[in-house]
Amino acid sequence: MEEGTALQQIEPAVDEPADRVGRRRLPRVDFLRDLVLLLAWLVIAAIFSFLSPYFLTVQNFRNIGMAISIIGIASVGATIVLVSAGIDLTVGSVIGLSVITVGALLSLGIPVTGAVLGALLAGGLVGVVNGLLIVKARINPLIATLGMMSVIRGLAFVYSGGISHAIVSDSFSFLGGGRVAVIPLPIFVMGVLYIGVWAIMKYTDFGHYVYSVGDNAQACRLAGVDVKRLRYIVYIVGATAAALAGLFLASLMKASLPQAGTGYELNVIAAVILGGTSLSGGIGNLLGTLLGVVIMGTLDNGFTLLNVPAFYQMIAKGLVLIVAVFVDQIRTGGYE
Amino acid sequence: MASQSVETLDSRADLAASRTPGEFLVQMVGICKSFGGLQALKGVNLNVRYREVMGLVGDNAAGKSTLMKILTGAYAADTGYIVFNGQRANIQHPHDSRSLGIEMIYQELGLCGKRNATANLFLGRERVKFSLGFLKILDWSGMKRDATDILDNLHIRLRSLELPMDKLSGGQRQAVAIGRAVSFSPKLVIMDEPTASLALKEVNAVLELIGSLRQRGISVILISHRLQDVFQVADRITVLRAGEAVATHATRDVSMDDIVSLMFLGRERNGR
Repeated sequence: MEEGTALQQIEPAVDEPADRVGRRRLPRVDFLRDLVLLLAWLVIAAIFSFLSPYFLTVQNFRNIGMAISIIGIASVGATIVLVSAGIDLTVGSVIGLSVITVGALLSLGIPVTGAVLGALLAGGLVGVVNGLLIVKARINPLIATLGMMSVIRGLAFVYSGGISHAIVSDSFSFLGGGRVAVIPLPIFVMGVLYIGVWAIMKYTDFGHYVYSVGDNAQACRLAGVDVKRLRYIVYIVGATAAALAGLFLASLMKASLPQAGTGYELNVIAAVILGGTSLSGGIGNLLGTLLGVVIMGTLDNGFTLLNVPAFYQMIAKGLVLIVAVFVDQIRTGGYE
Repeated sequence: MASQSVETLDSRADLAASRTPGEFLVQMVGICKSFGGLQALKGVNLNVRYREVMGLVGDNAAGKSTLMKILTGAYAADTGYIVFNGQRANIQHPHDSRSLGIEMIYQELGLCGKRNATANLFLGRERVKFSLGFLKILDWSGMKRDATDILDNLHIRLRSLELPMDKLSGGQRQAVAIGRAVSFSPKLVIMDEPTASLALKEVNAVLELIGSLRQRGISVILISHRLQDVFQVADRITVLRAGEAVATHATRDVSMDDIVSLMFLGRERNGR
């Protein structure tokens, strides 16, 4: 039967001319966006290397890598949370909690492996509580994690009495100071995480459901997807990634201080959104997030090399984020 | 006691399966449902034949959606029972209705707008290539092949299986939703206002698609406010009014005016 129904003759509601949306040449929106980010980064890097002789050096790029590794690792989890149409503001507090926990466990004489696992577990527990508040108590994720952000930070201060301690452990400082071949361990771990989680998001049922639930949770529920379970996993993964970032921060600082990671949630969310993840969920990928993290880190680094005062850096980074989201709104049709 | 009655039911079910089934695929008998003090359904009977498109019409709050939610297991009836395919059916949960072969296509379209047709067609029952611990690697190329088959079978031609649903027209989205329902090999498809949000030129195509389901031996319950659509494709029409089924007529025996009077007055204009 050659004749189909009239549906095939219906013009799709796409504005693009037909040849641009042909069978093979599809609008690979994600890919295009990542390409634009890469170009933007190259432009930024070119400007900085023109303005500062110190920018384009191996040592400086290693500095950038180290500087972005903490935010970068936490952003892996935040990307998953945001793609699922959630949000997690506890990132910075969980980093602090992880720093305090690992410091406390090490000072109790617990071996490094145990202390590291303990800190990760503490992060995972925060994820469970976030999940309970959002899934069970049905509290808006923004409010639930805003509250938890304050609770966790408070706990870190209460436990430490607001006092910082030095972490004296050679094997623990390997985390921040060690190397795999020539690559510093934090950068190596960040790289492995991005590749691994990118593949998980692209090829597995978990990734597929994160995107689908972020897109239309109701449709997923109707199709029999266990949306609640997925939300728990997403928040647990998000908080555990933040805890992992906290471990590297503690190791680099060689100290356990309760205010560690304060405000990082904003840097993390900014990088993820700059990387093309949609605040309304269902869209985003880790390559974009990595580019977002790298761009933010490069701006930090370049401004510092150029002796731009920190306050101006804050203004510049905020503007970069707003412009990035604005460009995205034009493309996707806007907020309203 | 309980197990005994289940056995009787089962043996009756076996008997029914061995016989040729009767005239009706669906018999809903004496269905009552109250929400607090509000009696939404007052002993509704609804019969749907094999290979039949049944139009279900009625004013807002006539009980159409409630009746269908009972048939799909989203609600439980207070009293009354359902016979499906010759067997007494115990539908407590949407899983139950799906395993019986009942598929519901929702008005608000249960589709993920940013995902493509393949992802939507297989949502919740993805093909797995292999498992890595608790993660499953999905077989997208296999699913895409099958998606092409599903859509080709219904003569639905999308510009691309890769485009997100948001980029397709309302009619094409509806077609994918129908394709998804049909791919479960259902005996009955329930559609809630499938043409409500469509451009006029697409309505015909979706109605043709509904007609083609009948040719495949699938019965359809079509809920619609657009009476002209119901008249174009339905074999029979049941009118619900204030929680009661006031009439069921063969489409060719009634006029649109008759149906309108039934919907709003509960009787036909000439007082039949």
